[in-house]
Amino acid sequence: MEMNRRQFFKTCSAGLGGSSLVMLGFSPLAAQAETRQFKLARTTETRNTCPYCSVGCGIIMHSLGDKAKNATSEIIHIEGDPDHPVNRGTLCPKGAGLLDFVKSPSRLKFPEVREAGSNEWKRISWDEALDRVAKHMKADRDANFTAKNAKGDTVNRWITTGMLAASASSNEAGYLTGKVMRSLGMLVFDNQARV
Amino acid sequence: MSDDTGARPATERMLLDPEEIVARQAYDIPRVRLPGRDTVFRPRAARLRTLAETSTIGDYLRFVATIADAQQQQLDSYPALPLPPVERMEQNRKFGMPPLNAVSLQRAPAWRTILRSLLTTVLHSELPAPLRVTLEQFATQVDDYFEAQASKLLSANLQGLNVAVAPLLAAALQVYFVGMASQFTLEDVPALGEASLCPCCGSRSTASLARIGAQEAGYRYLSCALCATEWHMVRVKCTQCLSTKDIHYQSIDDGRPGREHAVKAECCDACNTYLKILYLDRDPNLDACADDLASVALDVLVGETGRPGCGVNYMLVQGETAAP
Repeated sequence: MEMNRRQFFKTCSAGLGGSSLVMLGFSPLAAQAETRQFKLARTTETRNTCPYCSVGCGIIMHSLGDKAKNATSEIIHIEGDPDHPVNRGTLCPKGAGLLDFVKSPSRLKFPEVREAGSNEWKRISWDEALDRVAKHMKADRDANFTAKNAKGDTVNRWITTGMLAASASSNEAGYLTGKVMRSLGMLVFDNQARV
Repeated sequence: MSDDTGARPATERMLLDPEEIVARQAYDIPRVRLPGRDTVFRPRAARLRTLAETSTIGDYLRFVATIADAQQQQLDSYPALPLPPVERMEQNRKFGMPPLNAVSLQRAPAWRTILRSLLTTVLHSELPAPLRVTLEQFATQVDDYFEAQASKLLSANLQGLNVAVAPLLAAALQVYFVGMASQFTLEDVPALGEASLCPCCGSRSTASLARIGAQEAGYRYLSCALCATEWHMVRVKCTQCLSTKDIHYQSIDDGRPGREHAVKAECCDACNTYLKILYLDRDPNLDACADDLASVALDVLVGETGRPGCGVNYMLVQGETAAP
């Protein structure tokens, strides 16, 4: 029944033959000829969260391309998600300019380092970047970790390094951020999504 | 999780109390947009004529515009079409059914009067000779024939349905149902949650519209093929199987950037169907029925990829097709 409905009620691949248009004496020939000249363009709409601030507005990103292996898909439009309970389709000027943010020539797309004494940024791998960050954190923690305060109470704190996590984090990511950083004794950290 | 909700009948859980509905209105967008007496057929006729200027099925669009004019004329001559008995509508609502359930509704004889007058009006316009003969023949049919044909059309039973004149038959039924639905207020329409079928008459939709306007900007509504009621459904979601995975859009590549395409086919890989979505922010004059007809090339192209559409447009009924 369900399949029949679909087949019966819509123009199928046979074109317009058998439809009321043809049966009432109108010609489908021009339309059929025109259809031969057309091809389809595929777009997708993807829900995401605006990366800017702690409000966490919902966005819909429109992209072009068929997601085939060798084809690059391209974001062509970004709008507020009307069904998102936080922003209900609205965006602030920064959010409304997200497409330019995505396509900005100065957008940071990979880790870079400017060595001490150098005036140039050098691209490095994620592995290298994380190793370097870990080494810096360890050195700073070893140097500045406070186990006891002046009164001799145990405090186990590390306040010379801080961390700020992203706005689009889920509850779970926020929980993990807290667990990992607290386990190091870090106090100065925050989640953008907290507010 | 709780046994309490599990034990209640499904219909009871779906329905909101009148107080709840009123309370929600204060901060919600309207979940249903009921048709107005001037918001359906008149704009549709105008839109059809505009589209006809550049369309390869322009003749047909102009013919459907003639029908739409006649529909408006008929609707204007009935200030209040008779509604079904109040108890019947109340019972439907109570059990989570649309109050004007098209398949089971006892139609008032008025719709046949509308059909006969509508045919007379259309026959007064300039028509090609073979079309005139078909319509004149149809106009001589008896009431029982019209009733039987209407029941077949509304229950999507194509066995023995006269496909050629189905748009005329449907046109009269549309006037009848729009005339009834336009008397409703929001409280008359049950909140059925996210539904593929019209909450007012239980029919399928022609297409969905991403609306514009201060309150509704960007929100998507499905447009009923019969009573022109529009009901809200979340964007980027299959309107048939409610899947949100693997939704993509196909439009006709006319050389313009994809974000400017006003008519797209929203395709779902989960149930392998599509329904057109019309973006009013890209063209504020879009009409579900008219633009669905005018974009028939999109139906053909998407259909050729092996994906059937799930929308219904009574102005273009497709009968059984012989293999090409």
